Amino acid sequence: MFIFGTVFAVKSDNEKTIFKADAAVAFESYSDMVFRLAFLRTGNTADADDIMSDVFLRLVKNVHKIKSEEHLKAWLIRASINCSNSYFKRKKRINEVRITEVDGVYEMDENSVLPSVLMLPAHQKTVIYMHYFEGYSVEEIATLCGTAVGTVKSRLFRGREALKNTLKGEFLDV
Amino acid sequence: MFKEKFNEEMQKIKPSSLSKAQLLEKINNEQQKADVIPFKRSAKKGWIAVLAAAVAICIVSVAVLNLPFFKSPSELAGEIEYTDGIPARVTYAQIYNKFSEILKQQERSYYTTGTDDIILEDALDEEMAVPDGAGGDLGSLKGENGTAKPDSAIDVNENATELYSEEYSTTNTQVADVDEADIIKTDGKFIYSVSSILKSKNQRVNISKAEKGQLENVSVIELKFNDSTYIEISDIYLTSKTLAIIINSMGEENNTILRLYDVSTPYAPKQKKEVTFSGNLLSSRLIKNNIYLFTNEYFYEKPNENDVCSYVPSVQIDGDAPCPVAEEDICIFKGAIDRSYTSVFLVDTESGKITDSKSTVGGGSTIYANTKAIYLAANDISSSYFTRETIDEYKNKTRLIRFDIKDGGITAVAEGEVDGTPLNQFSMDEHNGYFRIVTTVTTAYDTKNAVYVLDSQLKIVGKTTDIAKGERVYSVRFMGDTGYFVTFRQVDPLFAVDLSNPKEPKILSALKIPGFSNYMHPWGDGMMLGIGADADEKTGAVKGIKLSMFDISDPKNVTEKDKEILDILGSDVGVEHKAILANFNKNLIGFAANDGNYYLYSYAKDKGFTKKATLKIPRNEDAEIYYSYYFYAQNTRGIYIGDYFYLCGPNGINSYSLLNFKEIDSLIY
Repeated sequence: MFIFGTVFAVKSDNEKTIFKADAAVAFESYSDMVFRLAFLRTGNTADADDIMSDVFLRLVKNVHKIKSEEHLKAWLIRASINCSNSYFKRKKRINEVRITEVDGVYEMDENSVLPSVLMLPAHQKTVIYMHYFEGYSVEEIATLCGTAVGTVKSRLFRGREALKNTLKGEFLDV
Repeated sequence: MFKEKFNEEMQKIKPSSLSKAQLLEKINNEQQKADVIPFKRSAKKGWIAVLAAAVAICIVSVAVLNLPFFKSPSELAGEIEYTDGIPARVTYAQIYNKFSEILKQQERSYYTTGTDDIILEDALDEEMAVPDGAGGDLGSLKGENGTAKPDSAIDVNENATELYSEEYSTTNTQVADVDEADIIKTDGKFIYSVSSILKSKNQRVNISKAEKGQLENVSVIELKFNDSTYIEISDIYLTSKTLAIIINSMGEENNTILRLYDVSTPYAPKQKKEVTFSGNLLSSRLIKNNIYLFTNEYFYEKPNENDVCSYVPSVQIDGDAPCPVAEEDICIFKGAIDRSYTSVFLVDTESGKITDSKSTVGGGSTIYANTKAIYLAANDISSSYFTRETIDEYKNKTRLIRFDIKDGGITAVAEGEVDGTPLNQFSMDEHNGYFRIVTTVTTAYDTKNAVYVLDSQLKIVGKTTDIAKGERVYSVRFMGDTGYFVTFRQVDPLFAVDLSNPKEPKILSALKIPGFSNYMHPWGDGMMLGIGADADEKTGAVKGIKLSMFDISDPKNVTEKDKEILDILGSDVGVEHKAILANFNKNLIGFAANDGNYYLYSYAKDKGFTKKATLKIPRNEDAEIYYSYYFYAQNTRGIYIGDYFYLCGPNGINSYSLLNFKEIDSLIY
């Protein structure tokens, strides 16, 4: 009985010392990704800034729990999603912001696809982003977001269907 | 080529270099702070080894011998018991279990993306090592303040009439003897006004002396908080000796702050007490000298078994450590399915003590209070949140909770449910022991409206449903046995409902007129004033502000006796009932419009509405921030003291004579 307990403790200790994440380094590599995920959720840069700062300040507190580079990225993706969710709850807003402030901030031509993506429900645009921009497979997205493969598939499918309805000619290859 | 185009556009989305630099600096600072205490962390690891061994022994011994005393408090907690739907006293451990259960449910649901908290698995291994008694050593709210009942209330009005002979106006409230917080209050001699409620570091309450139209600024209460917190004065209350300021504080966490000032000498207000409540302000009421303060708090983070404040609302008194609401003051009704609370705190303004409190799980949205009971209406998210697939069956619902307050404490008495959502506090009323509510029921394809009558146990005894399909409620007013409500899409039907037989609410009449009322006010005998907007009969487009006088002497045949239309766009006049001045005895109807003016009317049965004055809302032309007329309209109140009328805007007061409305004095602050 006693031996079992000791072994368990040593093992967990070892695992933690293999990889040591640094929040500042992580920020350099992943701030753009976190910002983009947050931007997709909120549709404006000011809120995305707030969420990005939430995510990385949370990371500082939890950095000792990060086990690997992959874990770090997954952690950041999930933290971005969760922080966006709580941000909306805190702001007493609905979960989807249907505005395209994009026009004011970034120069968009009339063929821009981003406004259409921003109009999608929150979970669909996250999946679209991860698939098209980050290049993850459905299985990888499922692992990263902690959801079932089927769920990711259906979200991707529905997101694509919705985009096909709003996008014009040349982008119908969604 | 969607992918290329999308990627190209996404590449442009980047945080600005300025915000990146600022955040990086913050991260480095935070990291340094975290690095200062590595000792604790490594010490903890050693503990983990020892404790893990102990836990391993426990697990085995529990498995072999099934010894109950090795179980953690949350395992021992057991289910919450109910008698007649009223929950028995709960323990912190039971609440913790309930929250963990709700969290799991939310994670499973289709609607939430991923898990609600990322450190879920990672936190487990540390947590299993330290399951000490949940909240055992924490001083709870009840423990600190005792279960004292409020001191015998001093009758404010009696005192007031002795000191000041002149009649003065009070905040336009729903229920007599139940005061509602507002941005302007007066005691007949001094005017207390919140000077600016826009985002600003200078949050002030101005105290001005008003004597026969002469204005004098006697003192200013300026609130100072640290830089990381952004504060906003929500409302104030005034009793005979105390000024209570309710503040929204938005820092790392949202809090509600109640500050009490001794204003027995208004020239030198003294701070008596500061109480900080966790959570957002929902509403408040003042009954006698006791403030009932309602807060809403949502817990985003995973509950931590060792920290009661991570799943129970807490209170800080004068900057002391937060102490959680006592176990016996928390009630979890069967319908609760959200990790949030609505809490009501009873604060004695004289002593500043919290004499009672109740927290119910599940967020509330609308409050109705009279001197005997408080009704809390909460949107029932179970019908929408977790079963989004069955959109065809979707229907919004409202959970109701009744609190008894007649004996000076707060007791949760009953829980009930109706279809639909009430518009505001005026949608609810209690009369002869029956609770009445008007709701708008939204389904996936249509809206309709309903009237419900419930008994003291919140069981539905009578109802009328499917009223005015495709429209929604714009205003409601109950007057004794009759309820009036306005629905609108193109033309405005004013319904009169007979509620004298609670089991059979009957629609007596439906008057169709263009436009709608946002607010209805009883006007003497058999008349009712409506303030709202005029609308085009054919298109439903909103045109201007409309005053209506309804003849309700025969509820079976309600007529619009007179009307007055102002060609000012402003369909929101009347939405805030506190901004309306409506006094039958003085024959004054006042409201601020979106054109920067305050309008005063009088009404006579033979002459209809007569415009008495158009007053310009005082504004500080030198103010650094430019406020819109809309802002001015929302934050202006008209009050009278004796024969003088005072127009209080966000940064100034003008005084007029009530006889001819000539300006007497002006004060800009």
